[in-house]
Amino acid sequence: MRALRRLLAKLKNFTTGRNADARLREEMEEHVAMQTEENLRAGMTRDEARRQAAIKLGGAGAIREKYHAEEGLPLIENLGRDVRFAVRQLRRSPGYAATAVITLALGIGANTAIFLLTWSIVLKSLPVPNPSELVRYTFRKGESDIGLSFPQYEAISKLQSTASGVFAWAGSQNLVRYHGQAAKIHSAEVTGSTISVLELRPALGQGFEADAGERGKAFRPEVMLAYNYWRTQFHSDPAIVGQSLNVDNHDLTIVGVLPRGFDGTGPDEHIDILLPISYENVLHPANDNSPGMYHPGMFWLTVMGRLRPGESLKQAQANIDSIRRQVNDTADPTHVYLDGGLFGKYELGVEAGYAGRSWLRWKYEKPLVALEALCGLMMLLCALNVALLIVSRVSARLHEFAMRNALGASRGRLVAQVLTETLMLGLCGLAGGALLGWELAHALVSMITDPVSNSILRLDAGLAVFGFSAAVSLGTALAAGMWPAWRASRTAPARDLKLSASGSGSHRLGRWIIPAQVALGLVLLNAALLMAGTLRAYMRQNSGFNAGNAVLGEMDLTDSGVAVKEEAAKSLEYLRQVQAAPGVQAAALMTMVPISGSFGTNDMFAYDAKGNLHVNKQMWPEDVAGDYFTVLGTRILQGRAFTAADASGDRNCILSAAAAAEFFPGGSAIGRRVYFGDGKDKPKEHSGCQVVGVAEDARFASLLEPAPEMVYMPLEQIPGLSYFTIAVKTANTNFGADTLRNIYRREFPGAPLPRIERFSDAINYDLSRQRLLSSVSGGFALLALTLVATGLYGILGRTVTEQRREIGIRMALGAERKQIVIALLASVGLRVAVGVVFGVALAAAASSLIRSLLYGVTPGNPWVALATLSLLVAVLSLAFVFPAGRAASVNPMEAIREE
Amino acid sequence: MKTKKDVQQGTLALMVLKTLETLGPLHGYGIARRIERISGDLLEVNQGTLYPVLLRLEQEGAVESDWGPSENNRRARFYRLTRAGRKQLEAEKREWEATAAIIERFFTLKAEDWA
Repeated sequence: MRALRRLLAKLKNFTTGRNADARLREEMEEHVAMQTEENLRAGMTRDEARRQAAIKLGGAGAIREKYHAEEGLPLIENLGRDVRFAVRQLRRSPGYAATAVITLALGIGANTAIFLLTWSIVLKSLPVPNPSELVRYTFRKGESDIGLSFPQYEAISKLQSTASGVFAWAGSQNLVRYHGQAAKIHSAEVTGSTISVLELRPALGQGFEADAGERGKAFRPEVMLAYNYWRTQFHSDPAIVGQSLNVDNHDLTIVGVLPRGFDGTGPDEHIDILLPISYENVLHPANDNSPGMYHPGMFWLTVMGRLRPGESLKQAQANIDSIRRQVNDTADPTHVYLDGGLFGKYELGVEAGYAGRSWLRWKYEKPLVALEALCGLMMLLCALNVALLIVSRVSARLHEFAMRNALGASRGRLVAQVLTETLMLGLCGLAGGALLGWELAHALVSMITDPVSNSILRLDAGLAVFGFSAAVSLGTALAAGMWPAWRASRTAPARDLKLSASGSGSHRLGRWIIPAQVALGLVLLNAALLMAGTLRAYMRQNSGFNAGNAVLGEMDLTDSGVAVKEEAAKSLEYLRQVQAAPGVQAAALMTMVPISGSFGTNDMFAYDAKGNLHVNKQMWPEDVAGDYFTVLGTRILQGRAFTAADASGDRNCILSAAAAAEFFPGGSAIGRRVYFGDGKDKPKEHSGCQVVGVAEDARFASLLEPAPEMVYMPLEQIPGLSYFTIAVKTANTNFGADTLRNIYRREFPGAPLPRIERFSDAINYDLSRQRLLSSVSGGFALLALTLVATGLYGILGRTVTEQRREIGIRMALGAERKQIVIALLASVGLRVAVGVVFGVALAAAASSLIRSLLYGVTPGNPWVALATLSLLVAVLSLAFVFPAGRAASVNPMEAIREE
Repeated sequence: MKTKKDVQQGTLALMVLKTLETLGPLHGYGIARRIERISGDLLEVNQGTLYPVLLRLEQEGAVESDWGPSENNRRARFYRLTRAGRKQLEAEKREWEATAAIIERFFTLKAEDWA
């Protein structure tokens, strides 16, 4: 009650701005007057009486401060005053303020950018109710996390007992015609249970029935629209439900619009429409060319479920462990696909599903974690530098603090003032850093965006990201300001008031700041060099491609009016036109696209010279026409490349070096035959193909993966092929791309243009993980070196200034300039050495974090260590030279005379 | 040698209230002198600190104040105990006495009483 009344009175005073200062002054004056009279009566002189009265009252300043504190809300009032004071102080020294703010902004910018990516790619939940209840069923072998087959989905949803529902989802692309316009759109084919498991409340209409798309249920030609697609393409037409949409020449009825915000099961998936999964069976029914959607060896689905209330992920995992065998038996009764072959080592599992499934997450989760760790070190370094700045500023103002302390300012107030000033720097740094981070994050996104599939990651600057940045910046500012603030509060007026303005203590400070900076700089530099080494190792390895400025064009003739049967002939005609065009050095047609991650396997076998059978169930077939090996720069090691004659007659083929060595160990492969099949049946005469050449091994799917064993065949000899990719080699890539487009327009009027990609871009994208890591860590290292150098420069500069007199005296006593510099070097060298020791230890501790991201180099690589040390020492020497020069050029007479 | 003791804030407030109860309305100087005298100059009130305490008591509603003429006909601010202040004094007095009684008992106990 009393406390409340007091608070109310204080609040009133605070808000009305009432100030009883005049009253207090009058009361105190009266008090002193009365005491003076009393003293006079006691027989003192008038002066003495007044003096004693004043002493008895105590320090007027302190009383007024205390009185004022009782009167209003000193915390808030002081805050306002401190902020104004801080702004004034900072404006008076713009150089100091700018340096501190830029340092903070750079650190915070880097942190914000990386966290923005981490948040958007790794941490963010799907925009559905209670995402933490979601689980995702996986089919994994180590890092590799492929989809599930439809029979696996069916078996899981039937046998599992922890989830209330399970759904299957497969991203796809379709051609939609609406109002006479055709457009390629992103879609997903899903089971009807998707709607209920994700608890998607359609914004419009009902959506699919719960069992839509399941096997055995008749396909209902229905489609749902994503909210954004409905809004942009159909202007949010409320009467859209019931209308029809033409998808790949099928008329589907629109049955609903998905809820706003939901457009996929990952941050990089943005679907326009949702289709029942059995639509796949309509589009690609099982036949000679297509295994069909129910094939047990087609792993193409994202499968997720929602746990029943009370069930945990652990229980779900135990559940999967207990039914795994049964799922395999049900999904693949022949045991060909799940218990052997290419996918035999893959295992069914279940993981947390709050973030859905995203390829980006799979690819970048580890690098981002590593980068976050580097970010933390980076921020520590920034904090050290800012602390250094603040310390030097505080020690330059010790005189002022001592004065204020003598005048009655409490230690708490001095601390508050220093911290306020630091926080102001933190806020400015936050503003700059947030902007910088946003820009930086977008630059990084463009680096990791697939140029072909265009699956753009939408960055989400949610509250979490802002909160993180704010916490980092204010935390850093506070941490950096803590020590200096404490130092300011320990001011002893008697000592510090006598101090000259030069300040003191930088050399003491350097004792721990220099080693810390050197250690952090060393770790960051080492990480950057390891990452750069990794990228270099990938780029310089013999990939089996030397394509220079080749350009690829992925052709899709589905909508060109060309019948599937004629696709090969028409494409070959197109190839001939391109080959004949001026400026074209070489051109080729192929079915599988190199460095695109696409793959396919065949069973093949052969008998070697001794008649031994060799079977390989993982041969990659590539069907080619034109000068494939010339365009892509894959060397022919033995025999010859294809010629025009190979298009007809007896079937010839070319093996990769590894395949040739496996099939025909110890002998030449040229002239021998290889056959399709698992080798159980005797091959017929003239079946298979005759090897006419051996090509070098090429890392066909990705530069990150070992080269597969391959067999190249003339595509003219394989019936029923469609979907080709053309490659062309010209003097420059733009010219090549234009040539491809121009001739395409002439050959296939009206058809959508092929997706054109430079081979070098494909390689860049293939290495985007390594490029992201090396460029970001490289940026960190650059910043770190700058910070370490400026930090050392600052400390040394101030040390030399402070010790000017001492240096002068030593010189006057006979020390040579060389000795002065050596002494300085020795003190710095010792600290740097300590820093290096700690840095090496820290780098060793951190190596497990990045080891799995490295290739071609290991954390302990001596060359990298040497490079790290020499770079560091070079930069530190640069920072040492100027202060050392100044120390050596001290004029002893002048230095001693100064005071 | 006896040293002068610092007065704690809460104690000082209690003394102020008791002084006002006994002597009626008084100005700050009067209160300070009174406390000094009663403590036999053992307590040194850094007299200025009285004013923040008075303001605090006023904000709590324990005292009221107004300007009035002093003994030598100058303007001084007089403080008077309110009803709430009287109640507060009573409460704090009881509390103080209870504490003192407990401490007293501890000091009068002899070794055999601990058994």
